[in-house]
Amino acid sequence: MIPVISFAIIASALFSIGIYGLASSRNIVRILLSSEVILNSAILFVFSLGYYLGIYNAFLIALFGISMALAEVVVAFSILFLVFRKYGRIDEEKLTKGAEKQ
Amino acid sequence: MSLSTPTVLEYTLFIILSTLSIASSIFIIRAKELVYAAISLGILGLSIASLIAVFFSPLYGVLHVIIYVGATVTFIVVVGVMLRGAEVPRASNWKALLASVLSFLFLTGLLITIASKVPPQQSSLDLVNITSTILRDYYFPVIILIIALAATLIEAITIARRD
Repeated sequence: MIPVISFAIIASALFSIGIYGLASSRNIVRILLSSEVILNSAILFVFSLGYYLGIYNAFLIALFGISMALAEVVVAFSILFLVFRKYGRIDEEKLTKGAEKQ
Repeated sequence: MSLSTPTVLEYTLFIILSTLSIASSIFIIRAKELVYAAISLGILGLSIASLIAVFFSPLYGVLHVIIYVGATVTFIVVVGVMLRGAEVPRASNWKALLASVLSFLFLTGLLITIASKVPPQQSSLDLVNITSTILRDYYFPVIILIIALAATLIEAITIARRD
């Protein structure tokens, strides 16, 4: 069995890539995609640590996590469609300025 | 799956799948078009599912592919296709890079500390155990999850149809 530390390093790397994407992107879709990268890293670590510690409830936590992620993505993109239809753009900075003007 | 010494095959699979997952996550951040970024998210989901299926639980690997890659990522790809042309130039700055490096160092240190403090044990991840635990101990969260998913469906339809 591969040591759990190796999985921890991979999960941390994915998390930091997601953080970089969140901090550097101005596109709302890309920000959501970055949050999905963070979700994947969290699932990987929860699963590996849960298995390592003998807690099989980690399976259930991960399962609930991806189901809620599905709900979150559907709502987020529905709102995004509405915003795109109304403003014609999905640039987070311009949208904030547009909302301030209104 | 035992906690014995890893074999060469296990190491090889681990290196291939982890490299694939990191490469695809970098591509998500760097891709110029949203469609390719969304497809890359699918590759990331598949590689994470493969990692979990090979080393921990094949059952969860299958569920991850069905629920996450099959539903969530497919939805994101479709949205990426519909929003084609709405791309925004990426702002690359050193503060984001610094935050990324610091979060990597902090999280790695934290996770290694947690993982090294507790001795390894073996768990039994079979379908009977999981199903009985869901029905016995987690029936209320499951009901909440079902209601949340149904509410999400209605909400998405309502928002998308609003003029």
